[in-house]
Amino acid sequence: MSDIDPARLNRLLQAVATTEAEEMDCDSLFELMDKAVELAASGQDVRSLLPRMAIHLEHCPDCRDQFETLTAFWEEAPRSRWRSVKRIAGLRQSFLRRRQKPQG
Amino acid sequence: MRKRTNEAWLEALRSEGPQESDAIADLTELLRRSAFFYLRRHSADLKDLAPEEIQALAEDAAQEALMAVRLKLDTFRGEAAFPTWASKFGVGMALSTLRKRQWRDVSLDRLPVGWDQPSAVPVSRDGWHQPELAAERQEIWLAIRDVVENEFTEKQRQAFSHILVHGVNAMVVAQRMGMTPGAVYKLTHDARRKLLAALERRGLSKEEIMSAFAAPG
Repeated sequence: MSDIDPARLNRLLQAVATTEAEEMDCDSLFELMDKAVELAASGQDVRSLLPRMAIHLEHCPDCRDQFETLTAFWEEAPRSRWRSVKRIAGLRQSFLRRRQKPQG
Repeated sequence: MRKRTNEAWLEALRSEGPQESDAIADLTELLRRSAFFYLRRHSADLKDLAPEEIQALAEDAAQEALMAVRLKLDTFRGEAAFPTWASKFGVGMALSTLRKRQWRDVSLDRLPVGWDQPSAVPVSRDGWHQPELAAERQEIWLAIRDVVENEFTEKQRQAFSHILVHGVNAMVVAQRMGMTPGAVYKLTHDARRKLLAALERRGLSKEEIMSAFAAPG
């Protein structure tokens, strides 16, 4: 094996050292994700409540990314900027339509 | 988006006519929002795209997510609100879209698996100049090589090398190996378990493994 970046080697060893005999896989976590997201978005400590899920999230960057995004999405939901984006897009379209109307 | 109970969502999506089309319109809007939310959080990885192109990506992800939701409707167990359950498909599709873009130019075939080459260990970082520490690290590294070369299956070796050694995204590796991400996770879990067992047989605990590679005090 040719040169391995020391930081990556450390992450590899961290991954090995934190291995548990039984670990949840991605499909099982996906099944659980909506329930976990609602717990997290309501301020509960999901990692303590669902320790097997917490272990999987340590080892799986994609599941972690998805979980963190969904939690943030539902924490922010009442103030979602999507409405602002659509409103701005709608205003722009009205402005452009008015500009295209014949004068007089 | 109209507020509905879980039962009302299921009834509407299983019905026909205006009730169904209203529910699909609301569901699509939710999926679009969740997909766009994900892509916006990762906008640094999409700097080459104009805003309208990112919205188009979100729209495509939302349409794929809509198909997935309709296919999986019978698996909804009501442990969370239906919109929460559905939104994971929106974010999941957006994530998958982003990963494909990020890794589209990387060929796994060109990444060395390399376990048959003479090993080299990093010599330029903290601690390697301390003989005892360097010897301990060398022992651990050689133990890893031994397990990878002699105890891993070919698929375990590939998944381990690509993901844990070369840092390739697991979803991308799964796609290239013709497996699901869950199956690849199991491969790497089995690989990690074998390594840990081998290191423990050599008298190394988890704590010793980590402290050997921590920055020396």
